Amino acid sequence: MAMIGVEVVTPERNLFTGAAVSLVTKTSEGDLTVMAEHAELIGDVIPGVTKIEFASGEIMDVVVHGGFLQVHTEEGAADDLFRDGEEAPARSTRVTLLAGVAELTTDIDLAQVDVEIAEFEVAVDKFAALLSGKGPEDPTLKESEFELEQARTALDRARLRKLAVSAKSAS
Amino acid sequence: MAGGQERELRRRIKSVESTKKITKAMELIAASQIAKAKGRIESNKPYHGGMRRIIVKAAQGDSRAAARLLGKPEKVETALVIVVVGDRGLSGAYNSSVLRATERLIADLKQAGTSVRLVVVGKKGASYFRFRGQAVELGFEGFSDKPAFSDALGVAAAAAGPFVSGEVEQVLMVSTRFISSATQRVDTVQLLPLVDPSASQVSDDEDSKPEAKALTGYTEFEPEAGTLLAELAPKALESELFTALLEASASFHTAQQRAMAAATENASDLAVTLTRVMNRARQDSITTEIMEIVGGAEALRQD
Repeated sequence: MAMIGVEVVTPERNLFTGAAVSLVTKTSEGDLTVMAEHAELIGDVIPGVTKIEFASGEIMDVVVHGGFLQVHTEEGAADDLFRDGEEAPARSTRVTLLAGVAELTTDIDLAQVDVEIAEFEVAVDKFAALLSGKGPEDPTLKESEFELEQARTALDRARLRKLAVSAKSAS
Repeated sequence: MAGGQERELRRRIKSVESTKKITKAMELIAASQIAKAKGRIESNKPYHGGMRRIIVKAAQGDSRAAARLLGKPEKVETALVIVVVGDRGLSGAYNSSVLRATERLIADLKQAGTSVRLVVVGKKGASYFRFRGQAVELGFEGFSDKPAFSDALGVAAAAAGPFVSGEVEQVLMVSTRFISSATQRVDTVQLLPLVDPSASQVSDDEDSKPEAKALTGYTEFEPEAGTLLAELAPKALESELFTALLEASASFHTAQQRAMAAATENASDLAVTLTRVMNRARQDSITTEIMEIVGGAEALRQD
């Protein structure tokens, strides 16, 4: 089966690079599956789980908190993504997934996530209450709005992590 | 009292020696931080590069949307300036050269009739502008040593918000770029509207030109290029900011290492000089004492 080269990159580290059979993700237009010889594509990735299927039939789940995807097919495009012993086709398809924040489901600690969710729920409530008590002239209004927004994002992320891990263990 | 002078000098030498120990330790710590900061810059490269590649492609896909998002705005009523400095001093001219460049930029903008809003990263910047009565809209601190991507998200949100709502027409950033271990430069760049990376790439990276030309094939966009570009813009801003924060932190540690190395050397020199002065003072007092004894003995003999 023709293989594709996949790289999942975040600003802080390379989450995954390697050869795979397919990559299934979700853009704002709908589900998207990338296999070898896929057309050139640039798309967004909405928060959710991206699945990478390997030749062995194993599937790796990556929790992506929003990002972008580039598919590029060219001669030798993905050569550096194939490890020793894996035959790289002459014309290969390279899938680059860029995400600000992403993690593998296997790296997520469910107990930790539950704690985080509880913490962020409290934080959101606290900041929301704080914000509602401030008038429009308050000089610290912007900071409070900002803190609330940060807490909300963190909560959303934690919830998505939990969802992804639960879905993975259920399947 | 010659002995008093000697004691005084001995105390000063001791204090210089202990200062030297501290600066030496700081130098070593900074040196180890440089390596880590450089590692973080390296880890960010695939993401940063990929983001630029995608932006260039999306811009080629919809040149009209690109024209709106990229390039120089025609009229700037209000500009937001992001200043990136360190949380700590003891780093030579690192903080002051950024702050001086910012002062110049603000003066230029004001002369052109543009009002300025300031967002400051780093404790040193916040206190500097507060002291000079320049209003700081938002201050970030606590991560200039080791910025995480989430820190960049916060700063990016502070910049993107007013730009998207139309309160400011331009977002500028003054920071120190880490060009190599030997060269760091204070630079002012425009963050928003996004500067077309393909334009800058041609000048600083000649190799990428043939590749860019080869990409003439048809590319699918999901969603369409214009919408995608609008989504990409804030993400690209985050990436640019994160890169700048990383480079600033590497530059800070480099500046600190250099400053502390110089301070250690100065302390060594000072200790040597002081030791010489002290020895001479001791010798002087001994000579004086001998002279007194000899003089006294001579006086007694003549009697």
